[in-house]
Amino acid sequence: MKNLPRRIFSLHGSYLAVFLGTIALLAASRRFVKNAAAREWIFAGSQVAVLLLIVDIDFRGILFLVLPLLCLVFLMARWLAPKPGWVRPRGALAGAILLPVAVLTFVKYAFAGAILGRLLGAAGWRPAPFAVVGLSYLVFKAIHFLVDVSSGRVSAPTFRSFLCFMMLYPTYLSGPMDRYGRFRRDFENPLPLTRDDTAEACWRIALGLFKKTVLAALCAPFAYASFTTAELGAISAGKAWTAVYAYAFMLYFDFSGYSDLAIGSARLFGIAVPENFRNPYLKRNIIEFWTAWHITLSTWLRDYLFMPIGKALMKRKRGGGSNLPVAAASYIITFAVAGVWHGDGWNFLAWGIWHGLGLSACKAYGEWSRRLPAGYHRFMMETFPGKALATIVTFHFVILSWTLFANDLPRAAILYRRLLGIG
Amino acid sequence: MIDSTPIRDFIRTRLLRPGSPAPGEDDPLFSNGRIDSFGVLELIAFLEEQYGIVIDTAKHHIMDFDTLRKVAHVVAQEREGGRRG
Repeated sequence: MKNLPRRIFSLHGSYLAVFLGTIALLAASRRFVKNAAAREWIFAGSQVAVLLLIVDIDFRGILFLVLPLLCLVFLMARWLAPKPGWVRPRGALAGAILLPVAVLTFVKYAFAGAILGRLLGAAGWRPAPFAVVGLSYLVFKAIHFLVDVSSGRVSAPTFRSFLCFMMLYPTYLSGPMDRYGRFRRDFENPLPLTRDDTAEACWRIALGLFKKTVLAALCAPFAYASFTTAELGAISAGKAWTAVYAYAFMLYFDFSGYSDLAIGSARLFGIAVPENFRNPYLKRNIIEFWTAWHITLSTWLRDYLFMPIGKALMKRKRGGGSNLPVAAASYIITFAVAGVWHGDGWNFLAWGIWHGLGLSACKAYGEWSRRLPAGYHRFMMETFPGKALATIVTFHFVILSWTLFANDLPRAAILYRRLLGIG
Repeated sequence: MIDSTPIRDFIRTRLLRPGSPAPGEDDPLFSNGRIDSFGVLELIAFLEEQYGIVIDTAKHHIMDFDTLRKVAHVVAQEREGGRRG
C-alpha cells in the first residue's frame, strides 16, 4: 500500500511516455520521411509495437493469434475483391467470414471452447491459453472489411493501412469502431494538427479522464457491483433503484469517457475517429436511442446484420400485409447477436432480446399510432410535456435493461423483485 | 433520371408520420430521423417492386437513400446496370 502512489505514477508515467513518444515519432516521420509507404509503415508499426509493449495486454494474444488472423483476413479479402473476368465462388464470402467468427466463438465463449476440446479428444484444452483482448471488436471490423472489399465498395486495400486500421491503439480495446474506407483517407493523408486542433484534442482527453476517473467513480459505490448477491436479496426498493440509476450513469460516463480519450488521442495522430455517443439518455424512443449510444457498433449492426437480414426476410414475405413481423424478426435476431457479442453469459443474450423486443414494440407503436389524430402526434413530437414523457419512458426502458447487462440472471431476477418491492 | 413522384408518395403515405409535408428533392429523410433503417428497407422493397430492379444492400450505403434525389439516382443506376447486365 505504501508504494501505491509511486506505482500509479510509474504506470501512468509509462503510458504517458509511450503516448507522447508515438505522437513525436509520427510528427517526425511526417516531416522527415519523404517516402509515403515508409511513413505509413512507421505509423502502422508504431501502433502494433505499442500494443505489444503495453503492460496489461498479453503480447502472446497479439503475436500468436491476432496478427496471424489479420494476415489471413487480409489475404482472403484480396482474393474476394472483384476482378475483371473473375466470378466469385458461391459461398466464398460466407466462408471467409466464418473464420474470424469461429476464432471469436472458440476463444471468447467457454462452452464453445469446451466443445471443441471434447471433439479434439482433449478435455480441458483451451483454443488460446493466453488472454486475447479486443478480439470482439477486431472480428466485427474484419467482417466489415471482408464485406466491403468483396462488394467493391473499398478498392485495392494495402496491408499497412489494414494493419493500422485494425490495431490503432487508442481504439483497439473498446472502439469507436471506424470503417476502413474512412480511416484510410486519414491514414494516407493525416489531418493537420493546428494549435486549435491540438487544444480540441487535449480537451477531449481531459474530458474523457474526468468522466472516467471522477464522474464514473462517483457513481460506482452505489451501483450493482458494490452489493454481494446475499446483500441484494435484502436491500430496499429505494436502494435497488439507486443502484439502477447509479449503474446507468457509471456506464455512460465510463464508456463515453473512454470514447473521448480514444477520439482525442487518435486526433493527435492525425486520425478523426467517428463519434460514439450523442446524448443517448435524452432520446425519445428506443430506435432513436440506438442512433446515439455506441454509435459505431449500432451502425455496424445496422449495415452488416439488420439490413441483410431484413432484406432477406422482406424478399421471402413479398405480397401485401404488414411488415411488422419482418421488422420484429430483424430487430430480435440483430440484437440477440449484439447481446452475445458483448459477453459470455445468458444474461447478455437476454439483454439483446430485451432491446430487440423494445425496438419491435417501438415500430409497432409507430404503425398503430398512425391512426391517431394529427393533434396527438403534434403533442408527442412538438410539445415539452410530450417530449419529456417519451424521454422518461425510453430512459427507464434502457436503464432497466442494464440490470441484465451487469448481472447474471439469478442476480438480475433478485434485483427486479427488489425494484418492485417483492420477494 | 426517373420521375420521383411515386417514390415521394410512398414515402409520404407509408413512412413519414401522419400530417408530415411531402419531402422535397433534397430534404434529408434518414439522417434527420424522419425515417428509420427499417423504413429504408421498406423503401427498397417498394423500389424493387415498382421499378423491377434488384438493390444489393452490400453495394449501397444507407445514406444513398437519404434524399429523394439520391433515391432516384440509385433507381436510375440500377436500371442502367440491369439493361447492361
